Amino acid sequence: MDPILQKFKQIFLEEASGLLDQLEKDLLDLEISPDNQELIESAFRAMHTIKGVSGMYGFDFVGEFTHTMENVYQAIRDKTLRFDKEIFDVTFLSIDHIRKLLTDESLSVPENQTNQKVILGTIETILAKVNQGNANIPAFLNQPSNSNIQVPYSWHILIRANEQIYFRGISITNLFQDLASLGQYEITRLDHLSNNEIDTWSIILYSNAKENDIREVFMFIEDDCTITRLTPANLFEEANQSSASIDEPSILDYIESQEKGTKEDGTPVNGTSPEKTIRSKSKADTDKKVGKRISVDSEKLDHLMYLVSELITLNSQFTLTTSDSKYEKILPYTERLDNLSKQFRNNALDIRLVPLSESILRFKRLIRDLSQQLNKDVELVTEGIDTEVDKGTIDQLSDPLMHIIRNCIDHGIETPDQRIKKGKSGTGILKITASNSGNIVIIRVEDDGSGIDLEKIRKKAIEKGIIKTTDNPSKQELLDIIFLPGFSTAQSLTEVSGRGVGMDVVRRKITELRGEVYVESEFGVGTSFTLKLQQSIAIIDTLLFKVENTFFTVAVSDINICMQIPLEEIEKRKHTRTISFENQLIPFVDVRTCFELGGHYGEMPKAIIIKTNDRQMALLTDVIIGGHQAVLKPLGSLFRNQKCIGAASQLGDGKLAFMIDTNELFFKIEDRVN
Amino acid sequence: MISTYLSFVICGDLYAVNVAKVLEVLQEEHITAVPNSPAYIRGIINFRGDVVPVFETRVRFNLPDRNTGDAYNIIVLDVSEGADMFRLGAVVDKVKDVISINDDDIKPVPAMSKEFNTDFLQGIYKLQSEFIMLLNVEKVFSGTELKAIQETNSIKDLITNL
Repeated sequence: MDPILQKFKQIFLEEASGLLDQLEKDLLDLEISPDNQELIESAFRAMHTIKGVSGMYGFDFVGEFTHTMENVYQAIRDKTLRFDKEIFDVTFLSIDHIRKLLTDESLSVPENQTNQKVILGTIETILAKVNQGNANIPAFLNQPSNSNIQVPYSWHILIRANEQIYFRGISITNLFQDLASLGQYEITRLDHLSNNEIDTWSIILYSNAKENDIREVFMFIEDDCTITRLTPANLFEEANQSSASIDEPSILDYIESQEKGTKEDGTPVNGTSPEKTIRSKSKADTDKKVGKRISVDSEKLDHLMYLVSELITLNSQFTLTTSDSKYEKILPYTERLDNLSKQFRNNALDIRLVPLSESILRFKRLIRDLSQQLNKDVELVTEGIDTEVDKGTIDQLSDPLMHIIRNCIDHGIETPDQRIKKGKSGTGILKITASNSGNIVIIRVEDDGSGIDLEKIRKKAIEKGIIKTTDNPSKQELLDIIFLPGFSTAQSLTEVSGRGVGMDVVRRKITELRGEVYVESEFGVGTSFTLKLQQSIAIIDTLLFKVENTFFTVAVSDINICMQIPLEEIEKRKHTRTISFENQLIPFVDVRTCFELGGHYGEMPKAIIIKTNDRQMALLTDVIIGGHQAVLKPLGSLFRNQKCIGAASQLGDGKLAFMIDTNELFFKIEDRVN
Repeated sequence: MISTYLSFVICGDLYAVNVAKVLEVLQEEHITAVPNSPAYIRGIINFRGDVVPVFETRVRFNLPDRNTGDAYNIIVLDVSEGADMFRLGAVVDKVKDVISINDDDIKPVPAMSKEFNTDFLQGIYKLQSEFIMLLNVEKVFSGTELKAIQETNSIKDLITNL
């Protein structure tokens, strides 16, 4: 395929999936308030755009499909049809189906073929009902507005196009060609209203086309134009005959006022009909979004991060080599360079941050489907989901969060009957809260369901040999058992959860993201899961230390405190491999032995006390060097057995330091115990 | 067909690899040893922003160990393993020359000492009075040890997430 077309197709696919997301979001909101005209408009527009664009890139089946779907929404918009569960269900199915069609443009997958038929069939049935129910009024002609009048009219169209239009690859020429097919028209570029950023055109059109057809021509720039029906008279003829049979001045006044209004506040003047008001309101929303965010190919971002990391490394090499007094003259410059590259780094890291809301909104759909499937009534409440997290983390977060949400709905929240019996409201609340402090992001998922039955966990754990009958674990210890591999208390395996591969995967994933997960639960009241994550993980603050000639780093966030311990202290408890710290014994890891580095510790080995997930250990080392901004590089698959050192980062002199994975070390300690 | 090869010396013998696989020749780049790793892996280097493992060809070819302080070069290569590519460095004594070799002039590998794995060779080329052993880099650097790597990519996954 032509590479340019291919590129556009890619853009189309991205746009289409964005539109589908939008549509899905609108639908979920519509389920709550089915009469919200603004949402209906937005949903209709999304569908309409998908239909319009898909044809252009050869996705004919998508076009055909959306066209039928659009009819339903046209009817809803026209108030000849009201939302019911069937419509919502079929629309959700349609969205899923269109997503599939986007990867199967020729409809070659048999499953998709069947689905297309089934869903289209359902839609046709719905449409048939509309036509029956309104036998006396033709389905699409009973709108209160006069937008379907087919007698010729003069129209005024005001376009205010900013550069965006050109960036979006919209061809103005094609637009005018389409316009010509509608009827007679005249375009004036309003120079006094145009400037470098914005072009303004005023168009007078005399056409017998329906309002919808005219709007369709301007579909791609509808947010930038105002379409007004002026008069049944042909303004072109009037002008030629210079007759005054219509109140021409008032029309001209009107046009002028439109243009003026546009000039004064920068947005088109609203028409008087309610539909227009709604339109412009949603317009403002989308404008805001477009202005605030741009989407960038993530590969470009990765490359930027790579360049930044190289710059940081080079900068520290440079600072190191020029620290000599003979370079005094360039000192101010090196300092500025250092400062700038740090700012550059922070900025680049910041670019990678995306709000959690996008991925959480996707869960809305999951929650809807799950609660229907399980006959439960669940309401999602969110708080602070505009909190930003590194793009990479968000992608990795979606699976664990999904597991947690599934668990909350499946095992946590009870059916409405059970809830009412317990004196709770029939609707269960699933609450997702996010907040950040410094580089830490905390995400909490809580439900007001049945809570975790500790007695059941205890029994199950004994049954599985995880604990002994004589053991007396604390509440938290019992709760933590749910994170162990192969542990599930579900009575029967359900499609939703309970294969015993849920919570352990969650903990593993979160740990891999350098985060932590906790569970709290009150039997009968509810359960909450708290995820503690690093906001940015590509470049992290570490402490650099050295044993023999090997450099290591450990994340500053994992460190509790650094201290010196007399060698005899260590020798004394060598057989138990523990040291005394704050009145308790904690295990130590002898880095020298652990990594087979040879040599011996001096009189006063240094100990770095690590504390994560409420576990503590001490790392014994020779020399603690200081802070190091680690740009982490994977060691590669060749060193897969090196679980305790997952990554390396370059030091100022070109040497590499190994990043200690404290979680793996804790596992190693646990293995040691077992 | 004529292909271009990069020739180098290991323990006095001449070897060569197809330049199509070669990314760069590094002078005595500092190699960071990785604790607890097999002897044929000398360590890692930072190459164009990525961590690249460095192999000791002498150990791989069952040749006597290199003395500390001896000069060396690192040849950075891209080796294919199925559909994947591995980037690695190979420590050699000294890089020599770039030579053009006609495929027709490549001679088959004769029976060799037990110590030397002839699977590593793709053929022999005679350049004037000297024999050059043309290496099959896929075999040298993706033996069973490397294959095992693909079974578990957990670390790789873990790291990509970092």
